[in-house]
Amino acid sequence: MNAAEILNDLPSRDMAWLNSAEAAERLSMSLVSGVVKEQWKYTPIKGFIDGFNHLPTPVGEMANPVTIVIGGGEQPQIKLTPFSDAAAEDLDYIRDVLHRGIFSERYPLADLTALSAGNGLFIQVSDTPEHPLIMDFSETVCTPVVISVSANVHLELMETASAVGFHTQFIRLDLGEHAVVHHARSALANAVGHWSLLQASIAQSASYFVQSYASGAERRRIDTQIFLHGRGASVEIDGAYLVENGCHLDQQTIIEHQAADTFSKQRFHGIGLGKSKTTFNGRIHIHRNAPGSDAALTNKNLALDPQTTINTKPELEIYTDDVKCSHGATVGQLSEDAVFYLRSRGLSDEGARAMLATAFLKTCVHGPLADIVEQRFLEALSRHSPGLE
Amino acid sequence: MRLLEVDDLHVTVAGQQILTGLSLSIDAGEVHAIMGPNGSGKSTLANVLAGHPGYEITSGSIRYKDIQLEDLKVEERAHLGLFLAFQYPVEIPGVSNMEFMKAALDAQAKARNEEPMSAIEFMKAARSAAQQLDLNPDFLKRGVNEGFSGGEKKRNEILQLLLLQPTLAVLDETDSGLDIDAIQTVSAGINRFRNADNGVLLITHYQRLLDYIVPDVVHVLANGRIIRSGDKSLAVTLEEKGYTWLSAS
Amino acid sequence: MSNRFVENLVEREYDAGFVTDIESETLPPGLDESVVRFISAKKNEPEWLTDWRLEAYRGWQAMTAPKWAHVHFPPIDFTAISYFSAPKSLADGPSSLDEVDPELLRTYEKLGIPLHEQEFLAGVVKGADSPATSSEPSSRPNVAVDAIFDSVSIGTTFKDKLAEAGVVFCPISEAVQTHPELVRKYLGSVVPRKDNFYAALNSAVYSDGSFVYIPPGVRCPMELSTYFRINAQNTGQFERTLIIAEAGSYVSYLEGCTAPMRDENQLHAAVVELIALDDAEIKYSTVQNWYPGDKNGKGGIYNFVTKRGACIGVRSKISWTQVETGSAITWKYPSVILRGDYSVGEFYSVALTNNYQQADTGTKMIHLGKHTRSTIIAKGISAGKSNSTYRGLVRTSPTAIGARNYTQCDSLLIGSNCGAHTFPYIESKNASAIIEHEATTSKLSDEQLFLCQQRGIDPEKAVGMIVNGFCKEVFRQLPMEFAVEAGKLLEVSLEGAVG
Repeated sequence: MNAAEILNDLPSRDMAWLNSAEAAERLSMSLVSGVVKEQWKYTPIKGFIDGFNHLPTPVGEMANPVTIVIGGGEQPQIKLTPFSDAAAEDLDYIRDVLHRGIFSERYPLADLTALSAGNGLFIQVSDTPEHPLIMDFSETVCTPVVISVSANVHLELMETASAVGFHTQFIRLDLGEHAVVHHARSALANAVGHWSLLQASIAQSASYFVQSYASGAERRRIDTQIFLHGRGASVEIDGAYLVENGCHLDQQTIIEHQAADTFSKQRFHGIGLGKSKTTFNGRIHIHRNAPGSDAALTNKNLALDPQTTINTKPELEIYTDDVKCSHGATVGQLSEDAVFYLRSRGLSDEGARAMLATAFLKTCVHGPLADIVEQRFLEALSRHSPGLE
Repeated sequence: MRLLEVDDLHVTVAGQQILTGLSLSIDAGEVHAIMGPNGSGKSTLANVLAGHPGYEITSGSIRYKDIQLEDLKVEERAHLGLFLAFQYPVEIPGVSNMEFMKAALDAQAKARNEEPMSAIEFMKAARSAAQQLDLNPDFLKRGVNEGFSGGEKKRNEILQLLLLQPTLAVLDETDSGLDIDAIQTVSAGINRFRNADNGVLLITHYQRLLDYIVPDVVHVLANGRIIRSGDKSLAVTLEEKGYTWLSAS
Repeated sequence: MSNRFVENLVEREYDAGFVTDIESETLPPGLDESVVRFISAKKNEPEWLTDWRLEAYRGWQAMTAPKWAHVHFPPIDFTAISYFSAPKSLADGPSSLDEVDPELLRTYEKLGIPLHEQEFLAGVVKGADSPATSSEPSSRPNVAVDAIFDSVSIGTTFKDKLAEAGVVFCPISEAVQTHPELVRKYLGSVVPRKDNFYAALNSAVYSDGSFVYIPPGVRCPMELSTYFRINAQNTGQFERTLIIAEAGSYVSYLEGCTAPMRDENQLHAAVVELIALDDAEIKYSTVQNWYPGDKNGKGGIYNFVTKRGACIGVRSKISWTQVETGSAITWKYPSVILRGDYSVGEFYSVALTNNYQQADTGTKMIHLGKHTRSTIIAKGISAGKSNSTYRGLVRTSPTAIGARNYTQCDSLLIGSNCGAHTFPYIESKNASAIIEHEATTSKLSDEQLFLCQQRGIDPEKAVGMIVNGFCKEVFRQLPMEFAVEAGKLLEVSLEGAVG
């Protein structure tokens, strides 16, 4: 792939928050980088890049591509500002966080998204709001969103991606010291193409809880990168996913333990049905200056059909000895012993299997989106084997 | 009334012959105990009765309530009131004990064309059964056998027995791994279950359990066949002299 | 753990670092087709083999060195390496070990490698303090040894006894002459000539190595062993090992390696191919103790090795066991292609790195046949400023119905400047497969150390004990003679740990 050709098709414009020449330069570097090649081993990046050509034009003019609902109406604690209207100092902040994180060689699609988007949304949460912040990415566009959560603030965030056309999201979340954020997110639409990047930076003693639910799509890739950069910062992620016949899902998480006594725990359960392809890559990186880190990851997969493909790659990269780290990954089927146990109590074979499959996913499903997600997963399982109740 | 009639049963597991002509009959109101050394085929018998797919009947027959059992699916046998208390109860994370038992009761009621138990009735029944077995009611909310101790798992099997009220209960080494207090609690549950219309098949390695649940008939299983049957005293003799006594005589 | 302790840990002695002063015939550095032709001619190879090498060489020229491994080193100048070196005294081809230069024999004696048939494998670890001649008499089983010195084999023991059983164990250069049909059939059949950069290089310039053939139904009467020694300066060692186990046969094969301490990095790029037919079993054990470089990271061997086995036959089994303590850089993934139904692949590994050593090692289990099974147990120990990486691939293809894998990777970190990494790739294309992977990382615990010390065990011994315990599952897989050596080797590698 030639970056010049790709960029040729994109609208070229200068934006105060984005140096487009720099972005283009970075993009051409990252498209040939070994890191990117490895990260896109199981999902061809080309399909996503092509997607940018099919975006409605001119996307840059779309002022408000994300539907934001603030429970209970407007709240003084939450301030929304399009990048284009941001004050000079806010713009400096936006540029700074974007350049520190998302705009790295690791994520070429972030640069493409920024170049295509033209604008973005800056959300400041200065005090604990009474109601959740709800965002839906419903349009066939690309949108950068920067959320800054001040110190000591508690925030409940619900985020859904309901667009069915090609769309990309990138969300940058900064948690101040002692902030607590509960983030429930889902990507359940059968989109033509969907790339999402969630990047969160967690300051000292702040806690970030994520519930992440995904289904397969024609083409879906979900990247998550968490920086635990303050002492005692923590993140817990529970994820559940179900990939139906003909669908594709690739999820990659990176946890960067950059400070002492940081904590991370991830649990992902997923099911592949029919002829589907599922990839999970979970990487834990303990930096040299992060003694006392505690990190755990489990990824369990069930392949329920002979043609199901599941790839998983849990990674550990550790540069200091005073750590507690573990990861586990499995690919398997429903336990026949458990099926027998349920049948011996009178459940039908199909009923037993459905109960076990749902339970397997439900282990990782909770929080405000739980009902919708369970419902969706159950529907998909019944479509797959119609005998289920 | 005849509940179970096993005739000259031959069973293989993974190509290996385990049962070699086992015959057994149990009438309603009876408790039978099957004892035998390790590897004699005790658990195979239990699993074959429940219809475990890993076991192949090569010859012989099993009739249960005058129905040919071999032809029935695992769940169909359950619907007809055949219950197996597992030697190693399976853990099912994510499915709560309540959810699991309600699903089982509903499935059985449906198969018998009965009205399903209401949620309130069920809660009551479950709580009362838990109490009888000395189990904390919180236990009902936990995942099926998930993180249970060995003793809790066995008590959970008896809890299901009390709720499902089967006609024939096959208890596969329910006493193994239990301390003496737990054996008494579990035995009390089983004794509460037995009546003139149902039957119990106790499979055990030790005579100890039979101090609390007095059997009508004791069978000794060795090398895949019943080599001796008698009353309760047979178990006592066995305990004194060991299984070698039988093979020697 | 005190800093002092960690600092001292890097003080490690390398016992096998002496140089044998012997006259050698060594090619000038550089590689072109004439070098390939020279090596081939030197070995009196048939034309097909010369062509085979040239084809590999041309393939290699078009390839670039791989960069994906988690190791860092300046680019290797392949023109600065000599591709052939042999002791001059071997030029006339001594017909028996009695004719071999005594200086060479002394080298092996110092290393504890028995080259006289009445002797026994005493060690690949210790030098002069445990010479082979001091081994106890015949209570220990015999081991047949093929000794490779730089580019050539200096001799193979117990050939006659093995011949009685129909077993062929000889230098591969000899096998090309005596069993050309077998070499031609199987050479490159598991690791194709152009499989990867280093395998292609090896195929072009390999000088010698061991050849093993076990006829149908034969259980090899003794352990077979090859001992590799790099002596000459600025030379690369490119050996090639080929083991064929016919239907129903069994063989256990061991290899050991050492090299002198030199300031330059030396390249060792071997290829090992194993072929197991129906019901055959090959057990391949390695104790790798190449010179690891000094405590500042100067010198040491680059050990870039391609090892692969093919379980062609039904119910065949290949088991790799490795204890990797040496080399500046290790890049090695002994793999098994499980083609035969019900075949079994195993990988047991201990990789210990200290100072500036880097190891990127692991395995690939490629499940193709039905009900194939694989087990991976990998233990990594990192100390000093070293980095140890497990990299593995478990793949089940659509044909691998009922395939099963279990992987366990544990890392032990000693000191806060080292790194331990795990990169397992799991690719399942078969829903009836069950794959399980577990990994843990922990540090050498102060409490364990304290307990040992409180009971009067000195800290250095305690570290040795704890590390040995950590590796026990792997050591258990080694043939007895080697298990003892491996344990000692770990202790030596961690020697000077506490002052």
